[in-house]
Amino acid sequence: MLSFISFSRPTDSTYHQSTRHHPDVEGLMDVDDDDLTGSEPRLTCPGETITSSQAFMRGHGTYVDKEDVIASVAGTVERVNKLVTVRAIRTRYNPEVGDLVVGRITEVQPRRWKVDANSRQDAVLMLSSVNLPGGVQRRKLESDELQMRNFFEEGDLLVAEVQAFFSDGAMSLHTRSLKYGKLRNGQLVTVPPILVRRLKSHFISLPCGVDLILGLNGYIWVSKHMKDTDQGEEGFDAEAVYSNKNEDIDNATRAAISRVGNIIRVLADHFVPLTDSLLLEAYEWVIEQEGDAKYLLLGDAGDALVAAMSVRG
Amino acid sequence: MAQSAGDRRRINGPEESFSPVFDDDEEDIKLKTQRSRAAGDIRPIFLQPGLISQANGSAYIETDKTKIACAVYGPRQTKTTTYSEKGRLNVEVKFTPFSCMRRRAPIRDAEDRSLAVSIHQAIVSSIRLELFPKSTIDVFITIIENDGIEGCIASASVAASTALADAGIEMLGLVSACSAAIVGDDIHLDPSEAEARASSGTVILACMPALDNVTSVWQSGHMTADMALKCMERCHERCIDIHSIVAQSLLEHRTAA
Repeated sequence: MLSFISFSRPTDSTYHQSTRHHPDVEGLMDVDDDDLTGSEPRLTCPGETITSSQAFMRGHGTYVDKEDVIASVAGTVERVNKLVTVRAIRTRYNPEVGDLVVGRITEVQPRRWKVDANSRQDAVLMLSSVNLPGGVQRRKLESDELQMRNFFEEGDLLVAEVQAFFSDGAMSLHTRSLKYGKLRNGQLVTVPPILVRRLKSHFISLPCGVDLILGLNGYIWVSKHMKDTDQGEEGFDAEAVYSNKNEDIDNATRAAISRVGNIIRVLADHFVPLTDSLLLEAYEWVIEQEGDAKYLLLGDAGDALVAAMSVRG
Repeated sequence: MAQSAGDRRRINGPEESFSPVFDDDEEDIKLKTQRSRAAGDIRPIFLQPGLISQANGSAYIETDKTKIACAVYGPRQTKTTTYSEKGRLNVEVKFTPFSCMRRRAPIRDAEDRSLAVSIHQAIVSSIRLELFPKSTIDVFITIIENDGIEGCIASASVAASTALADAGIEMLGLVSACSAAIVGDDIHLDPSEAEARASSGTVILACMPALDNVTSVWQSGHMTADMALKCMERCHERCIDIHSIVAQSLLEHRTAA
């Protein structure tokens, strides 16, 4: 089944251009004045020669052919000192060790789970890199292997950290922290991975009783706020961690969750990078407008939101 | 006869029903093959990347009556367990039931596959498959309206390449393709169905104009070697124009996003 989105609407492009780079990098981008460093981001297409390989180093999204650096993806040319990269706007997630990702179990295999994390290959979650219910630290036994589906089943969502890479480039995940594990009480919103920046913390609590997990792979979990339990590593609640049951969620929280979800969708549609402060401001703006959750997706409300945010930012 | 029941989830329509087809007389053929444009001109192209929201990349191309949608999924992990150092490219072509003069039953037949093979050949060498071990890239092409199979192959190759670029897949260069037919003694570029039927031979050329590389040449019917070379030359010139259309549509899509 095909679903066609509407023809691309012209948006005010100055906003995301102004936030194109991290402020730390911004200064490095305009070192001197040759053709690679304009104020406008330069766009390129596969096969286009960017520069000569003698003066520059090739980065991601480029290849070298006979002393020329040539783009291999369509996107914006970026330069940090001598390194030239081309960043594609819509692309798969490129994992790095330590990244926080949200994923979905696709398969249960001997001593491992396969996880879809929006990457080029399925991620792997080894049985040895999950916490056992009850918090006991021990080797995983054969009995644990037999009840792997009690921990994670096909279709379950989880939050994890990238632990390492296999030799073929597939990433290995771990959930060995109380913050990680199975997800419930909320909804998943997917955005292009490029929009999620590396933040100090990817677990965000909005004051409206909504928790956010910004996975670097573009999967965002929007859920009911969980109370911080001050139990130590040892005594965490075994049942809750691998539970498949949602808790009771009252109507106000449900509305808040879908409102936040819709804000993220609108911002992603307009290609605005997501940060915690931006989401907070956007939520406050939406409350001021006194619309219900779906109002954002109708008519010009989305454009108005983005316009309001660009004024503040 | 189990097959003849067709797909029971679809509305299959009557088993056999054709509108009467009359023999074209000479006049008609002449009228149909008469072009409103010069022999060296191609039909105007409308190209729009990113039309299918759930795909990783997509493109829609329209050249006059030929209308093709293309969706790219991946790179994603190959489902089979065998290890492969290089990525795989799957191309699947589907005709809509209303795409041709005669109703096309929604069953895969030989033509789908031969189209898929030639499109695969046109784009496979442009993709840096060595960067995607164990992965598969799926390209799904839906032919919504068909006006000449040569034009379809050429347009579909262009659309597929645009969709791959839209998906952010690493490529050596953009592929553009053009077809030519020999009608009488003339070379008609981008022939319509009627022209192709009246022609003695056709050529489809796919190339990467940015790198000045040819990725695929497909010649059928009979023509002299001289003529074939001339066809390729003309096609190559048009490919350069098509390349700038593709590049421009991608850049416009980027600035609009």
